[in-house]
Amino acid sequence: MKAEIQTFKNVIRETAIYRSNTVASFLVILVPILFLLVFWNSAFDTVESIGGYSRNQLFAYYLLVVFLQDVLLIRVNYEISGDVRSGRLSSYLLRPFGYIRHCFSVFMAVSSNALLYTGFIVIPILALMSPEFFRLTPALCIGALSLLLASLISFCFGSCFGCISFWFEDISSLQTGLGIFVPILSGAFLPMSFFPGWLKGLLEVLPFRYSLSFPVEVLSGRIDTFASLNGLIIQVFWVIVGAILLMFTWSKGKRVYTAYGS
Amino acid sequence: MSYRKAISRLINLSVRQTFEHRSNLYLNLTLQVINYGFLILFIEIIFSRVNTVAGWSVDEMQLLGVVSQSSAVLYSVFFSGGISRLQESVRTGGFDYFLLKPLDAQVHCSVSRINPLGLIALIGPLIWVAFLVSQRNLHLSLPLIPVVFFILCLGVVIRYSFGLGTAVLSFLLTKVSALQSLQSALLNQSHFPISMYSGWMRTFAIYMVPVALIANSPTLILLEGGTGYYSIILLLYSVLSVVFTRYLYTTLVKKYTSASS
Repeated sequence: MKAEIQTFKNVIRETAIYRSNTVASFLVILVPILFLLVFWNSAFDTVESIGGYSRNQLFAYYLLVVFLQDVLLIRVNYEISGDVRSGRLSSYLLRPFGYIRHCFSVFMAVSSNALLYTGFIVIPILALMSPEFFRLTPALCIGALSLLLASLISFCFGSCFGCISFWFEDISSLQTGLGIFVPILSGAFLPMSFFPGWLKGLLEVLPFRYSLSFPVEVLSGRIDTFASLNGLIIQVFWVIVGAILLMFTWSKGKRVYTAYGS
Repeated sequence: MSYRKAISRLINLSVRQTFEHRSNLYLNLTLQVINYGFLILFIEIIFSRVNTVAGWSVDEMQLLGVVSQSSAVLYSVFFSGGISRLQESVRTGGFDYFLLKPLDAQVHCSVSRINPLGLIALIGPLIWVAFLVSQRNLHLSLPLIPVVFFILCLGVVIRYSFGLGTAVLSFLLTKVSALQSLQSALLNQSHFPISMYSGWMRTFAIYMVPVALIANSPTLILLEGGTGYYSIILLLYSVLSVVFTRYLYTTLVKKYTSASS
């Protein structure tokens, strides 16, 4: 555990050194959402509500997406595939701690940092727009729990994806694909209630929704307590599936790893 | 060796390299089609709930999406491959390779990864425009297509200037990857209608970072045959940005230390 805590601290320090890069990374998420908000603002000129959302509710939804997106979207796969491709993984395998646990420490450190940076901007705006977010309600508690589970889902599935590098030399196109699919399927661009029925039904059963839009909807109080608890159970299910899949791909991948490039 | 010959050799080499990783090429093309499909779906979903957004109809928005996508594809075909590798080559000292060649290093690294096969990604969007014109009666000023293409190229020039302008900062800073992603994220917002901007956002999106002009100017010419004002701003901006980027490059390249080579 000591090694993991030290890794966590190192990543935090490294991020502090490259502050401008970290701020720019946050702006990369903020910019598309800002343009989207201006677009939606124009769309609300002619109607009162769209897809069951008022102007303020939709803005709050997107702000929460900005706040959580950097934490929850699958990024860990770049670390793992980079280590496998470059052969750096060999040095980790020789160390007296598990590689996946190390990745988890890095993931948690990066996520905590992202929450801190985005929180500086997003929380005051949310507090001004919708003060009800910050009352200690069951939705807030369930939301915090669903956030934790969502990050576990992201980590497990992201790591599984990174493990594909054990079998394929270059997965950059697959990663680009993931970068296109995940934000859309997880509700980063459009809330789930906007999607046509058939697509919504499909997204309800896939893990993407439970890695972003579900915690956002719980935190914004759009889902009642019963449905939230139900969603938590589905999240736990996806965490278990993701963890099993990760253990499987990691143990199989290690066997075919040739330390090419090291 | 003349620039024309050198560039044609680089293209030749790039095509061969691309065919070495054919599956990657096909996957990338498929992803571009899917990406565009999602954009159409996004627009259709929104317009199933509202009739117009900032005065634009669903068909006009989709045309804007096609033009924006075309601009992104042209940039990616001609420049993005070379520019995106600049940071890494500066960090590793590989930039020496460009400096030692009898070609201008800025031109060489900019066009070192031209990938003409990427133009295939334009086929899907163009088929969609044909569908919009024939099935949904979208009226376009077709005789103005050469002008539209010229204005579209100005947008690509602006993308190039921003892309290279950010990349050359790697002569000064250790990490510019996030800045590169930021400029790319900013310029990729060109698929939104210009009339949605007001106040400071309008000033920003038209005069500071002309993201609102890149796709809107050619689209408005195609739709209305007018808006010369925006095109003139785009022309001026592209000339100034090229000059400024050249100045930035020549100034910053002097800081290059060839550290790791």
